[in-house]
Amino acid sequence: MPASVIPKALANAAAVDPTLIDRSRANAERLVAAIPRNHAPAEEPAHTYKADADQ
Amino acid sequence: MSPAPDADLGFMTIVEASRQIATGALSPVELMAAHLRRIEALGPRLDAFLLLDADKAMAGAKAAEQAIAAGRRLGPLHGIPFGLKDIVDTAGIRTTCHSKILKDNVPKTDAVVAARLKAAGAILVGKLATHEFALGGPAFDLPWPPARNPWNRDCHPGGSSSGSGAAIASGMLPMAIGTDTGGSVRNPASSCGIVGMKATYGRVSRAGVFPLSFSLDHIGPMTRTVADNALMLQAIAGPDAWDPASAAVSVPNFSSGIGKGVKGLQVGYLRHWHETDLPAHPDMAAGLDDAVAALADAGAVVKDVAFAPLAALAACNRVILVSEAYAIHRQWLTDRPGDYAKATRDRIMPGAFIAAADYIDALRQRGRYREQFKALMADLDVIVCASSMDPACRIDDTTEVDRTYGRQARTPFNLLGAPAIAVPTGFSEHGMPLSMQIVSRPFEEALIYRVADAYEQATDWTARRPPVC
Repeated sequence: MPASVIPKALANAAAVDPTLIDRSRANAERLVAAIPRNHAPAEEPAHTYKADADQ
Repeated sequence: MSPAPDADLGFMTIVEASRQIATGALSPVELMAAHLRRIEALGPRLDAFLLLDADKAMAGAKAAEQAIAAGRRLGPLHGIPFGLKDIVDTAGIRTTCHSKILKDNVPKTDAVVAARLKAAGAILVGKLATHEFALGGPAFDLPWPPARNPWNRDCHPGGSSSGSGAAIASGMLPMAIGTDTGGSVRNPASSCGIVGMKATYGRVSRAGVFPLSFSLDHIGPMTRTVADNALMLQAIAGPDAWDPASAAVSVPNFSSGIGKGVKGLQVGYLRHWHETDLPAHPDMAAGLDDAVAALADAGAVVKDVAFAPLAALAACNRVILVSEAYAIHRQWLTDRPGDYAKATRDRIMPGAFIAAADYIDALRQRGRYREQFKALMADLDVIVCASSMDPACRIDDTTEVDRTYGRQARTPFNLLGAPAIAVPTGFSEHGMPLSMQIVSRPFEEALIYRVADAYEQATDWTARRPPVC
C-alpha cells in the first residue's frame, strides 16, 4: 500500500492526528525489520500455549 | 514537606503484620485505619488511586477482626489491605483502564485474581492508576492524572502498573496487583524500589483482566519485600477454568526457599544486554555488578552467560504485542480515536501495519527463543540481568520518557513465558531506585524467591523509605 494511502478504518484517527498513520507505519516497518528472517516454510510458530511442568 | 502519619504500620511487612494479627497484637482495623490515613495524606501528592472505597475497606477490616477473634482466620493475608491496577475487574466497582473509553464501566463480577485475594481474607482498598489500557505511558490528556514516583514526585514511577508501584513504595498499601505484557509489573517495581514478580505464563489467571496482548499478558504480585511477594503469589496462583491459557500445574509452597540462602546455586550473569546491547546508566550497571558480587559472597556459583540479542527479542515481543493489541482496540480506534491519549494511539497503532505473515514470523521466532532459553537454563538455577537500563526520568519530559521506554530487558521473559522478578539493588547518585531481574525456568518461582530473598537479606534496600513518606 502506498504510504500516502490511509485505510478507511483509520480515517478518524488520521483526522485526530494527521501524522499518526505515517509514524505508525514507520514504527511497524522498523519492528518487523528487526525480527530474524530465516524461517523455513514449514517452521511451526509458537502458539499461545498451555505451559506444563516439564518445559 | 512533613512525612505522612503512621509510617510504622504503613511500612510494616505483610509477614510481620500477619504475625501480629494472628497473635492479636495488631487489629486489622488498626492496620486499615493507618493505611487510610496515609492515603489521605499522600494520595493528592502521588495520584496513585483512581478510586478509593474507604468505607467498604474499613467495613472489611471490622469483619476480618471479628472473624479472626472468632477463630476463623483464613491465612496470612486475612486482614491485609490491597489494591488493584484498574484494568482488573471488580464487581460493582468502576474499572476504567485509566481511559475515557471505559470511564463508566462497572463490571458485574470480580476478576479471578481479585476474588482469590478476597477469599484469602485480604481487603480491597481501591483501584490504582495505570497507563491507559496498560500501554499508553504517562499521559496528561486523560480524565485522571498519571501516578507519581514517591522517591521524587517529578519522576516517572514506571508503568504500566504505575499506581501499584507508587502506592506500595509510599506505604499507602502493603501489596497490589499489577499486570505485565512487556514488563509492566517489573518496570514500576524497578522505578519505585519495590519487588514485582511476573510469574510463569499460565500460573496466574488472567480472567477478568482487560487484555493487552493475549499471548504475552501476565498478572503479578507487587510488594515491598520478597517474602511478602511469595505470600501474595500463593494466594493468586493456580489453575483456572476461566482462563484458556491457565496452566494445569500444581502450586508449590512459594516460600519454601525463603531463608535458605544461595550456597551452591548456579547463577548465570547475563551482562551483555546492559553492557553492549543497550549500555546501561553507570549507576544501574554498578548496582548489577554489586548484586552479583553479593550473591557470589553468599555462596552462589556465578558465571557469565549469553543469550539472543536484546533488540531482536524486544522487536519480536513488540510485533506480537501491537498486533494483538490492535485487534483488541481496532473498533474503538476506528470509531473514537480521539478518546485515547496520544501516547496510547502511538503505541497501539503500529499494529494496523503488521502483516499477518510478519506476526507469524514473530511467533516462529518466539518458538526458537524458547528452545534456546531451555538450553541455556540446562545447567543454571537462575539468571541475573538488568531490568531497566536507566533510573526513573522526569515524568513530564516526553523526550526522555520515550528514549528510556524501550531501554529495558523485561520483554524477553514475556516472550518466553518464564518467571522473572524485579528487586531493588540500591539507589542512583540522584536518589532514585536501581534494580535487577532474577529469572528461572517456567514454574520455578520458589527458586527465584529463594535467591531474591538471600540477596535482600544481604542488603538493606527494602528498609529505606522515600523522603515524603
